[in-house]
Amino acid sequence: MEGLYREYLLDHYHNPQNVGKIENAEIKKHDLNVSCGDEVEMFVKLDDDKKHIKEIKFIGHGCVICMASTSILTDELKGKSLKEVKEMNTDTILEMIKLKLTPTRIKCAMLSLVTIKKGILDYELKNSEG
Amino acid sequence: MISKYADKNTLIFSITGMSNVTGFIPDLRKIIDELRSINKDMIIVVDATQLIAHRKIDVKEMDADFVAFSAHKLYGPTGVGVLYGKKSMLEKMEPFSYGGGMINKVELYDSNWAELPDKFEAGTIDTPGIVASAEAIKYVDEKFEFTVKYEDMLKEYALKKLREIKELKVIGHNEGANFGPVISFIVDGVHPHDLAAICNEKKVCIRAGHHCCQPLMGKLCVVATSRMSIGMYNTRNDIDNLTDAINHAIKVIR
Repeated sequence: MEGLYREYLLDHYHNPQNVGKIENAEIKKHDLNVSCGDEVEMFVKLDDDKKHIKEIKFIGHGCVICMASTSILTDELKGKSLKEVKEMNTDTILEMIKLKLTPTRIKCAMLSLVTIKKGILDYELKNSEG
Repeated sequence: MISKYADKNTLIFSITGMSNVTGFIPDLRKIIDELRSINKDMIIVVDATQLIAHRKIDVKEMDADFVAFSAHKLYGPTGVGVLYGKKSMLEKMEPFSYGGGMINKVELYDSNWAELPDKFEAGTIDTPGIVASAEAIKYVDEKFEFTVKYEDMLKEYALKKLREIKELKVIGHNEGANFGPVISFIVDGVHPHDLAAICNEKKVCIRAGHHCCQPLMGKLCVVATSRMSIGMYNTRNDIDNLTDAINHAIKVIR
C-alpha cells in the first residue's frame, strides 16, 4: 500500500479528464458501488463503423482511486474497439493506474470498466434484437 | 416513542444494545418495559455484540427473551458467539439443526430431543473457539469497571481532538445521551475509503464504509462514514496519531 496516493493519481482526481455527458451516445450506463457509494455514469459515442469508440465521457463521484482510474481509463479507451474493451480485466486497470490494491479497493478501481462493459452488453443486446 | 415501531400484533422485536455506527446506547430497560406493556407476549431479542465489551449486562435485569453477542468483540476468536435465551422460550423451541449430541432417544420411527442446551448444539462443537471465548470473557470481566471508565475517558479525549478539526463532523455523541466508545465521522472533501487508506499508511486502523447499516446511512444522508473504535489497549497517543493522520489526509486529498 506504500504510496497509494501518488501525484499522478491525485492530479487525475483533482482535474479529471473527459468529464461530461454526450448527447446521442449509443452507450450510456450508470452504476455504483453500494459498499462505498462510488457512482459513475458513462457515455460512449461510436465511430461510423459502430465498432470503435469515438468519444467517451463520464459523470460521477467517489474516492480518489475510483475517480482517478475512471479519468485514466477514459483517456485510454478513445479509439479502442468494443471487442478490446470487453477483453480488459482487473490486471489491465491495475497496470493502467500502476497500483497494487486490496480486494475492497479493487472494486473502486474497476467501477468504470465494469460499467462500460455492462453498457456494451446492453448496446449489443439491443442491436441483436434489431 | 417505541410505540412507533411496535404494536399489539408485533411478534418479535429485535434491537441493538449499542449502535455499531454511532455508539448510541438505547435505554433497554425502559424500552423493554414499554414493549411488554404494548404486548406482554412479544419476543424481545437484543443484539449485544457491540455493547458487551463496553457495558455490564445483566440478562435477568434486562428481561429480554434472547440476548446474543460475538466473541470477537470481546477480544475472543472469530466465528464463535453466545446466545442467551430464557429457559421457558428455549423449551418451547424445536431444534433448527440436526446432528450428534442433540437427541435423547432414537427408535426407527420416533425420537426425542436431548435436554437444554444440548438439543441446540448438534454435531461437533468448536471446542477451541468456545474455550478461548470463555477465557476472553473472564479476562474482560476481571477489569471491567476500570475498562469502562478508561474507555470513556479516551472517548471524551477523542471527541475533543476530533472536533478541533474544522473539516470533520462527528455523527451523534450529542450531550446528555448515552454513547459507547465508537465514533463515526465524515471529513468534508475526503472520501471515507481514502481516509482509511491514508490512516493505514500512517499505521492507524479505522473502518470505512456503510458498516452494514445502509438504511441508517440513507437517513444520515451520507454514503459512508469513517469509524474509530476504542478498545482497552488504546492510549491517548493512538488518538493523537489518528488526528495527525486525518490532518495529513486533508492536506493530501483536498
